[in-house]
Amino acid sequence: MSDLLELSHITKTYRVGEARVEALKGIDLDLNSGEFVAIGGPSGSGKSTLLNICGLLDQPDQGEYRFSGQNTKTLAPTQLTRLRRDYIGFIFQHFNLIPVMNALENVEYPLMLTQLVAKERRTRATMMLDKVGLSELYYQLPDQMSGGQRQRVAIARALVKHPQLVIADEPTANLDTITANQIIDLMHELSTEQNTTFLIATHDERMVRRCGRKLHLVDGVWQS
Amino acid sequence: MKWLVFAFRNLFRNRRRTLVTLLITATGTAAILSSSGFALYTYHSLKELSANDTGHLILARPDYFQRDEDTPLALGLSDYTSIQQQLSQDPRVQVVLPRIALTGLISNGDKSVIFAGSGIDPQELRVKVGVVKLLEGQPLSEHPHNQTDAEVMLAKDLAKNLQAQVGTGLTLLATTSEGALNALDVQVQGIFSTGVPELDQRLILLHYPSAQTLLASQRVSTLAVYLHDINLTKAFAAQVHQTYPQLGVQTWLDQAALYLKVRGLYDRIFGTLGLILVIIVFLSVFNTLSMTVTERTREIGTLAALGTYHGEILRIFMLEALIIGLLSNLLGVIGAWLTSVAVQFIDLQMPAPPGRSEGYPFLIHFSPELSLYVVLVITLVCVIAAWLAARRGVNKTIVEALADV
Ligand SMILES: Nc1ncnc2c1ncn2[C@@H]1O[C@H](COP(=O)(O)OP(=O)(O)OP(=O)(O)O)[C@@H](O)[C@H]1O
Ligand SMILES: [Mg+2]
Repeated sequence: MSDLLELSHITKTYRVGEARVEALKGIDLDLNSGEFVAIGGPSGSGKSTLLNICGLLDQPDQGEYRFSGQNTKTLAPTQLTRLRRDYIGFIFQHFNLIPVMNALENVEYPLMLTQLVAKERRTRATMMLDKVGLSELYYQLPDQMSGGQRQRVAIARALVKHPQLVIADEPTANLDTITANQIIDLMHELSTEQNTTFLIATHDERMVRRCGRKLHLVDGVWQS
Repeated sequence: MKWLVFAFRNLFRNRRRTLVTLLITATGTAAILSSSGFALYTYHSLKELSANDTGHLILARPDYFQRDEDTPLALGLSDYTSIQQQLSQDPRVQVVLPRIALTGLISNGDKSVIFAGSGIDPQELRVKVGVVKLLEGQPLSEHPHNQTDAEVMLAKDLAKNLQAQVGTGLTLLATTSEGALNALDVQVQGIFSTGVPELDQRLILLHYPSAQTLLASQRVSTLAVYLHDINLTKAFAAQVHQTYPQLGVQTWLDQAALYLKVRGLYDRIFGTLGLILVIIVFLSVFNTLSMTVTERTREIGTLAALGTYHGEILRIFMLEALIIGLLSNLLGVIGAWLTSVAVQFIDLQMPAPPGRSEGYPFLIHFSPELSLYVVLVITLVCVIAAWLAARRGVNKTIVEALADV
């Protein structure tokens, strides 16, 4: 029994015309809160597919996925949205900041979806930006920032609402090695501090080595 | 508040496109308002013209409106003076005027032609603004002498036909109420035009007592009631109907054939034009928003992943369209208002409407009430277009949207 998420016998098959691609072939996965997990594996091995399912962005074809003990199969789309809003943060390979929002507003955005009053939102967002080391850049727009800075904003955005789970699909793929290491260290640090589970997909083996728990996916199955 | 700021920033992201959409929509609003403003002005003028011509209310015996009289004034009113006096007391009433419709022959001694006559109170010429245009001589005297010949006013083509000038003596011939033939010597007091060729060939005006003499009757055909305010017509008609159940009551609208015809035509023309403009605005906004939504697919995916509901994402785009709608409508209304002011200074003439010999000025009536409706409709169209355009983007799966580059 694990307390955050349990996946058992998850499969996912894509159909492209006549061809069928079995992206996941019966995956089991248990995650506890506070874990810092890396999923490595070659390109096309199914990492993104698995993360999308874990992040409730996509549904598996077969198998059972329990998030915080709740079977996600029976949930309506709005209920899934609600779970993501309350419990899951996302960090993307391409940062995916909202271009018309400055750093502070981007971090504030997840809180705007909650009942928090403006002042409280602002306080939390600035604190979060300070934590990722961007005290100087509150009012900078995304296209005025470097890749590393943008990913820091994205990390702040993912963590500002204190989610139970953060999904990071290739968070460092668009960054140089030094910045990538800094970003990984930052995520690790915040994971420990906030007791947030991180599930990171990367095909960079050096990255995998820096993580607490290492998993390896090949052709849709675990490889030990 | 925050959302509004983001919406404005998004609109600024593609300034040129936003501006073009804004201008198209503004032009649409201005065009709808100007064209319908012209129609409104035309309706208004024709309404006035009709009401001035017939009076706001026409009172007669009920069967007068239903069938032709067997002999002149057979269906006339005999107790008209008391009704006239009673109605004149009402503060809403400007004036109550007896009127006699008659036909007969008018002769200059050499030649006789058919006339259509109206026996009137001379005051009627003062309220008939725009209907009777005096060309020569004088209007009918307000206090005619009994000694001299009766006065008559001739429509211009009739005067030409009879080679009559101001001062010429003529003779009217008509059948009396009893069916006998009677004659009356008249002198031309003035020559006028009506703007309607058919009337200009036939119409004469004379004092109604003269008409009564000619027809050997004490009756009048109708009483015309002129009100101070045209909008009171309906209510006043209802009241008259109650007070005088023995009377038939028609309003100016019942007799305003030209007004109704033009209105029917213009409603269709400008209705169609308006619809086309609304469709253009819709397509323009839909096109712009579709482009915006397509460009922002990944952003939509991101917002959805972060836990934004579909409705909330739709709202973002609808808010942007709402801003476009309101701003462009503001521009459009100002544009229409400026146009309505400008055409007052450049003297444009419209060609004569069917059945009339004179054109009328091209003016645009600026109606705040209509503007409000148009603004509401156009803004709603903008928001609906945004909703339709954004729905497509939102209905993509999140994974698909996030994969968009
Ligand atoms: N939407 C899709 N339609 C069809 N096939 C897909 C789709 N998404 C993924 N696949 C296929 O499923 C398999 C797993 O893809 P996935 O993106 O999960 O791999 P990955 O490990 O994330 O690869 P990468 O390291 O390149 O990101 C691949 O063969 C891929 O081509
Ligand atoms: Mg991937």
